[in-house]
Amino acid sequence: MSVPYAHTPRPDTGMTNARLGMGLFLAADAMFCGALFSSYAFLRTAAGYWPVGREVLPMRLNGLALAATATACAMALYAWTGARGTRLSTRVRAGSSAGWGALSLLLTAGALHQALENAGPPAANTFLAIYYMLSAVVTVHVVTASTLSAVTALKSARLGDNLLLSRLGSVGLLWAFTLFMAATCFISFYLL
Amino acid sequence: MRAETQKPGGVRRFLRGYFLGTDHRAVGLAYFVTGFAMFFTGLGIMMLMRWQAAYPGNPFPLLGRLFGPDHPWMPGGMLLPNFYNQLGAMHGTTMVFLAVVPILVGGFGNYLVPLMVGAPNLAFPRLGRLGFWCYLVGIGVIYASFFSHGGPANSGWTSYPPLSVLEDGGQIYWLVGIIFVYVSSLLLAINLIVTVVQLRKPGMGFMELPFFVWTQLVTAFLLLLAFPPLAAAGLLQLSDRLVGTSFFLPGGLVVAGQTLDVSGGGSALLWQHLFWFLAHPEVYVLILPALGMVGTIIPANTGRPLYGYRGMVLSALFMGGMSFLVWAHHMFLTGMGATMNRFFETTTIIISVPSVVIGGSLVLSLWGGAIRFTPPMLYALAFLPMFGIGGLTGMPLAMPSTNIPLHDTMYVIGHFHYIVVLGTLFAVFGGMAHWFPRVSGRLLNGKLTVLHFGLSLLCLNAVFFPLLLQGLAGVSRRLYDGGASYAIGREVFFLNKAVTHSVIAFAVVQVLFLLNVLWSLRWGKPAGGNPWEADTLEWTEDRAP
Repeated sequence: MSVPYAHTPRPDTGMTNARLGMGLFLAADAMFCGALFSSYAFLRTAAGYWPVGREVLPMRLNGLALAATATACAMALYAWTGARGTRLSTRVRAGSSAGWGALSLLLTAGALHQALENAGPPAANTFLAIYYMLSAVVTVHVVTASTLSAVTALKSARLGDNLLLSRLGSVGLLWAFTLFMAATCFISFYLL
Repeated sequence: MRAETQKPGGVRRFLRGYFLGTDHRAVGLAYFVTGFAMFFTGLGIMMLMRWQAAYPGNPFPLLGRLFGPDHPWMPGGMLLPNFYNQLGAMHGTTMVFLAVVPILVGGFGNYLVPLMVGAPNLAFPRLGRLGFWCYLVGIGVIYASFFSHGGPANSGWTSYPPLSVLEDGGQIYWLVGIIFVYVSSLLLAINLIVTVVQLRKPGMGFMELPFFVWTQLVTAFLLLLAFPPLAAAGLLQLSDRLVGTSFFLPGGLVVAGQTLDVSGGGSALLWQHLFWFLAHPEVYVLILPALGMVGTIIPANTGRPLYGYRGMVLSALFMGGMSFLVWAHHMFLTGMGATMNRFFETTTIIISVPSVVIGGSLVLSLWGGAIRFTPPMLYALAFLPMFGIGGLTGMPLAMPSTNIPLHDTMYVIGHFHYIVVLGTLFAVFGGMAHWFPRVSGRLLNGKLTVLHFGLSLLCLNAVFFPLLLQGLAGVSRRLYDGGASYAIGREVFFLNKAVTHSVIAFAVVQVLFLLNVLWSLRWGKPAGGNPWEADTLEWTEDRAP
């Protein structure tokens, strides 16, 4: 027996099952990341000394990674809102979102390498431990979102209109959350 | 007749459904069977611990021969202190994470919610199956720790640092297993919420949902939003153990006279905050579906609808929301300060209001009804006063002035188990008796069910009421020798033996229940289409069981 509203929105809720499912997943994800940021705040307020991020960590590389993530997110949302256009343009936008995501990963890898060389390993102090932990969590999000963008771009020719729109919507939501995470991370370590 | 429409069974068909089935009923039954297997495992662990408390230094009967005199955990069948600790951690973990939640939400939720809302299946059938696999892997990893160097985790089901970070046992297995259980709960919760919101029968409004579905919906939201902080905490603790960070270890920590080489700045209290942010809502995860089951059984056996349905639904929602604001009443002992204490005391007292509204509505639903004392109804009726005792004994724990002297005593064990065993477990038995005909097409044997009900009620009160008395006398809840070497509360240590014998009697009575289920599956009286004349959709759906 097929499951209703898998590809077409339910009239009274205006959502497909996947869109609601992704929204709920992101709510759980927000709680997960919220717990990590709360831990950051808890540890920082309890610490006697807390280093200044700008002086210890590779701000420029992290800033460039954030910019690449923002571009990837913008392309993913553009692919979603413009999905009524041609399949080719949708494929290009979703594909470029994955590409910008890959660039963000490269820049993050460089930043982590530089942090390891200049500041030390996670075990050196709690400041570095939480920096590496949050960076790792953001990285996992970028990897997931980039992979989903790439898969959607590759499969877009074979997907029906509704299914494609539903998938692009879910990927767009994931990218938006990833950007929010990356930006919060950047602000926490460099601007606060 | 449902019994006649069943296809012939078989081990192969069962295994196929158990591991691969994507129908919500197959997934629900898989959770149910596994959850009950874990329940009996947790009960077995508790019997070992209780024997040690009643007869410290004496080997457990029969096990003396199984374990040689040089066995590292139980030489000659006698528990060593460290293994006692480990069993305590495994009992709590097993019962809360691996037994009761999977039975209530994975079993009853997956099986019944789609039927009750008129949905053809879960919204994401394959995710439902994937969630069950994650649950199985979680069980496997947690129990594999028995074979690890140092044995299973030994810092309690709460895994408080610094012990959990520094101890030599299988804490890593515990952490990895809990993360798998978290993923399972996440998939389960998403599936149930989307099923209710998206797959409701067209025209079925939210205020027309059965109360049981509402409780499952609120429970799913609690699992969805409360579990992630524990997963995050687990990740941080894994990092402390594997990478050498010190999120939960403060600088200058001295263990056995040696100052540890930790990077500093960490806090053991951070774990407690993250853990209880999940673990208090988890109590409502354990009780809300039980309230939903009782709220289904009572109308079916009184012939009248629930009293104050709308108030009950709003109370369940309020209870779910408030459960996120009460976690630190488990931490009064940590010295959070008077302001924090007052805040969490107030929120904890406020959350008792919706519990009273729901409990009161269930009692008032009996008023004027043509009550039938069917086996499910007996369990439901017993649930009400037992839940009441559990709730009322919780009130002194809400206030710091009374919480602090009672916190580490047997009183807390008694209070919690009145809620979760005499409350939730009785609702589960009631639910099994009520929906067994829907699953199998047959009725459970009435006489055996009533016998099981009476004996279980007796045994469990004989187990947990003495614990309340011991707690009031100041008996600590972490005594390896049952208190033999302590001066406080000596006048109530004689209760240890009565409690232990009652636990063993309760375990024997459960064998009766198992036999009843197995016998009734084959030879039980055919149930007909709707044996309780209930008006919920699961009885009118014509899908074969």
